[in-house]
Amino acid sequence: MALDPETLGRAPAFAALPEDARRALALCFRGRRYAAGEVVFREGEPASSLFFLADGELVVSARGPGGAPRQLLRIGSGQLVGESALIDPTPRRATLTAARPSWVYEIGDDSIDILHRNAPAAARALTGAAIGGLARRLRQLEQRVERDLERMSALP
Amino acid sequence: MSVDRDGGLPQNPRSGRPLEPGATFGRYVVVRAIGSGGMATVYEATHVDLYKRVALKVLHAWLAMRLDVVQRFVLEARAASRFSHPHVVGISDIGSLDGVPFMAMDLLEGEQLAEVVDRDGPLPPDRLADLLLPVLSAVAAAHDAGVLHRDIKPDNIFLARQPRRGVRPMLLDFGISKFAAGGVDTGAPAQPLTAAGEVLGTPPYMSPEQVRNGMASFDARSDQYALGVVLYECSTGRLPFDDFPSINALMEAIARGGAPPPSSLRPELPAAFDAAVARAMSREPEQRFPSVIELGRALLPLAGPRARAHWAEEFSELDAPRSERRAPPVVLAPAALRALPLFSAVPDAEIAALPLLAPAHRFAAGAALFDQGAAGTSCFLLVSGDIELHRTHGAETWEVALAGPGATLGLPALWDDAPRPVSAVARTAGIAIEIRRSALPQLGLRCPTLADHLHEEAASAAVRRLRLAGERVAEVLDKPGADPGRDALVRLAAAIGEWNVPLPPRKR
Repeated sequence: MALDPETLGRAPAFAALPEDARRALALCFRGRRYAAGEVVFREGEPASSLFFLADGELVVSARGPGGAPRQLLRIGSGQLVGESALIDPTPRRATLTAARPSWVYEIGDDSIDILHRNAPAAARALTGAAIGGLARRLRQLEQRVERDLERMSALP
Repeated sequence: MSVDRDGGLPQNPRSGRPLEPGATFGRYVVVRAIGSGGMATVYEATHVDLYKRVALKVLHAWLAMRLDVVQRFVLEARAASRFSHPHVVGISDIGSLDGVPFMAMDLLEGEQLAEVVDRDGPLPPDRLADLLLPVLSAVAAAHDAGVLHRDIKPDNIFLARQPRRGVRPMLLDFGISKFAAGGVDTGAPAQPLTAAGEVLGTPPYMSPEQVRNGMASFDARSDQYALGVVLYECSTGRLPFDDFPSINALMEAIARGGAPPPSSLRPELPAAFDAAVARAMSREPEQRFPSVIELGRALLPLAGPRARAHWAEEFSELDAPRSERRAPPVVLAPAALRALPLFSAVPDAEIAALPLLAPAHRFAAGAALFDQGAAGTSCFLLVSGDIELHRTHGAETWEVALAGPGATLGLPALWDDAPRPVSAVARTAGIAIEIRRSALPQLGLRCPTLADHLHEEAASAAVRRLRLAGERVAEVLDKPGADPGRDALVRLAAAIGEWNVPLPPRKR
């Protein structure tokens, strides 16, 4: 099913895109319906695409230190998942599963080059979404270091 | 202005006849007339190549002969394009066809604030604060960019309908705005388009100094006075100075000041609202709030919970950089920018367009570009001067890096809502170009080479930093019994958050 450009505009990264650029971007997404419990991608798989949840609910989980899966967060309609994979092709760090029947749209890193030639604003928005994803991961690392500092400061 | 005629056979706008639906006008096809005012007619139109719906504002043919009117029309487009703000209507095109100037703007659907008050009566203070905080933010951004609006009133505040997201208040009509000529920091006073003493604006919203001394005395505080009148009128349904037999009598009353408090007309209005309106409408400009940001800060507690949360950062006392940004923008010689690596391959046309989208500001030694912990939405390209980056932990502060000309500071804030990981404090005076997140779409359209460079730099910096930081964190935190020391951890945390800070050396 083709992705409606207006639906895509619900993702904050694409909300400010001009209509023509959003239309071009929507054309590059490939959609699929996932049944409840079906896995979209698994931890450790190669990563080179971003996912947009048009409708439904997804769960992000990862294996904890003991190997047991831990649920990390829930993704609602209009949200992006796995943005940083577009510019940082490291393996997936978590598993993405449909919590209920969901329409999920995928766009690969090869689309950045195609869009750059035909709709540069859309290409930049896509890159921007990926940078935002990396920035959030860096922020989580920063918070981890800061927590450790707090712990050290609390020591007598 | 360019003459843009390759869009088919246009109707001659010199005839003065309104354009009919289906008529071509340059590269636009008219859908319908939306409205007509003293200066221009506004049409809904479609760009023939982009299929983009726009509001096409076409100056009345009989005014196209008047140089002052044409200048004012162009000035409106330039003023609104001089800064980018989500609550100011974007201008996508300007030109002239057969000598008649036009501009294309974002097409909005909705109604004027004036219409809402006429229909629904006075608005409760929480709804009014919700609607006006975005407008105050827009006026503050205009003032930061050196632009005065000079005609703020409920007719020029448009509540644009948004599907599923309520209304978006938009500040319209910079038609009689004023800004420093060319934006060049010559130290000379700004050049008004109107002759000194000429009265422009809408009488009930004019400030006492404007009434007394004309436009020559108009400054940012006069815009603030008009905002006070808007608050008064929309909360009570009455103008502060009402029922005067002539304009002269009205102007005398404005010059005398002393309007009754809004609560005398609507007792349910809180004292804090009365106080904010009274201060914004003070007879003497120096008794008003230092800026519209402080007026916004006074209104913030009256807003609804969602608006309060949304605007807390904009109107918070912690927003130190805003006061730094109030310095007038400077225009840099292209050669000064060419010397910076980021600009080495950027075409001249993009460098010329840059000041409209990303103004350059001088900063003094000791000034803070941003503070650790503050929510940032912009990055700074350092043109000259040295900036120290500090990270504070507990009672101690570390200098974690020194940035020089060519450095990009605060880059993550363009894509991520995170508190600033460090403070950036000027060691020496200098100049920095500020790129706001809200300006990125326009930057992509008008400075695509620069926008691409910025994205590439950020993408590669983020990927590199994530890999290195991940390795370093694993080294110092995951090694059993490792004791990296507080100094190393503070530097590591700063380096992860601010991509310009070098990572601390690896421990052997």
